[in-house]
Amino acid sequence: MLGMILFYKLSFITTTLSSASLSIIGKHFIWRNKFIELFALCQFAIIGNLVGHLIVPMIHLPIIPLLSSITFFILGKFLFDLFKVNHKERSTRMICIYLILSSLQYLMISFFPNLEPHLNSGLFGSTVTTTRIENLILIAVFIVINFALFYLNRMLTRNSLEINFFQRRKRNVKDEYLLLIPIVVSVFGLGLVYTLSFLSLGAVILGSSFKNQKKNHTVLILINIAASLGGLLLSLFFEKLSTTPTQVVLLATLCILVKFFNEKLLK
Amino acid sequence: MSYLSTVNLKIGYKSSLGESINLELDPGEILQIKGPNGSGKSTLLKTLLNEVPRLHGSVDWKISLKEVSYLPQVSTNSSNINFTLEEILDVYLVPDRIKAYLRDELRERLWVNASGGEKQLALILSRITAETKVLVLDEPFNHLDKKSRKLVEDLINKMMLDNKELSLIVVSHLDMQLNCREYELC
Repeated sequence: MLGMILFYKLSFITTTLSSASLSIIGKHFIWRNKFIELFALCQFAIIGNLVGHLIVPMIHLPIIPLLSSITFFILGKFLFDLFKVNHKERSTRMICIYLILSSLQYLMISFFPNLEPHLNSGLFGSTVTTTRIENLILIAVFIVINFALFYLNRMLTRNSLEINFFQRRKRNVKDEYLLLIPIVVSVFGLGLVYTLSFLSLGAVILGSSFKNQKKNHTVLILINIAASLGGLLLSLFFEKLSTTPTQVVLLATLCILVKFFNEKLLK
Repeated sequence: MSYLSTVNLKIGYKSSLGESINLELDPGEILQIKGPNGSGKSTLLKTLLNEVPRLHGSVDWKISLKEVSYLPQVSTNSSNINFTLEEILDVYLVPDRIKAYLRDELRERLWVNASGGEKQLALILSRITAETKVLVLDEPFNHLDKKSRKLVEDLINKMMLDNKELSLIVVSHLDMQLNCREYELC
């Protein structure tokens, strides 16, 4: 048992750091009403990943798919801001964009069937199949982002509140590009389902379940870490359990249980 | 010495909205800007604050714009904001003497559970810094019931009483229970 944990030690570290960061980052996008935009943008990242894997045989650099993911993601964000696609009626537009990009992904697979495993890992990813280099990149990114989130917390929160309170006013949203980098790296290394789930589930289920934001923040980070680590452990010991679905279901279960017991305690 | 004076000011984006505007704001005064929809009330505020260029005339601030605090019109989706009113003021680094205007029982109230008036109180206080001499409020009473409006008016009265140098510019088409001078845009 200990041997298996030591074998996957980098995955445990990645999982801890990523789940903690994603819980904080996700709140900002939810406060800014931009979560559905993220959902669409992640499709750009997956396309970038597929394009990167097409280029790798020609250039022989394993980091190409990650760089390509980031490039396509940032390009998507830039196009959304430039053409103001993410302004009014954004939900419907983002769903349409998701459908188009998702279809584009499957069209690429039909022309290049060797890309299919990369599409699956882009959607469902898994911390146990991430390579050593990918884990180290993820760990480095999340350490940096955790420091940045700590030091820039007040500025980011203030901007998020301003965007929420005064939706008709133009706001400077350049800080979102900082928040997007760990998201695209997480989609690349850990998959879309893991990333979006750990960004949102806690914030949505436990939204106003606590007396204040500080308590909410702390509990959410702990739940995210517990679900992420717990899901990884369970999938290592029970072969039939896939890692990401186990982590996500565990996260949802923990959030619902905490909400239920918190409401009972408050009554 | 007045804080602000405008001479033959014309406002608008491509063409002028209405006639020339000549107004003044003195210390300790509340100036209410009234007018029908589309008369340019919010545009006037944005012009005074240099967010929109003036078409003609002059805007003369005798104080620095750092001493002017502005609360825009609120349009919010609050369902996910899980801050208490006091935590919101902490995010904005509101000085303790300003936070003191928030009654004790409101400090721990979650934003999602607060009434419209209570939210507006918190937002008004969030704008005030140690340097604020002029507070500009754009439609602060929109969508507020009578009780909530009284809450906001009481706060404004208390602040004006405590600080004789504080002035307010309030855009509102509603009749306010405040001692104010009105300026009507046509």
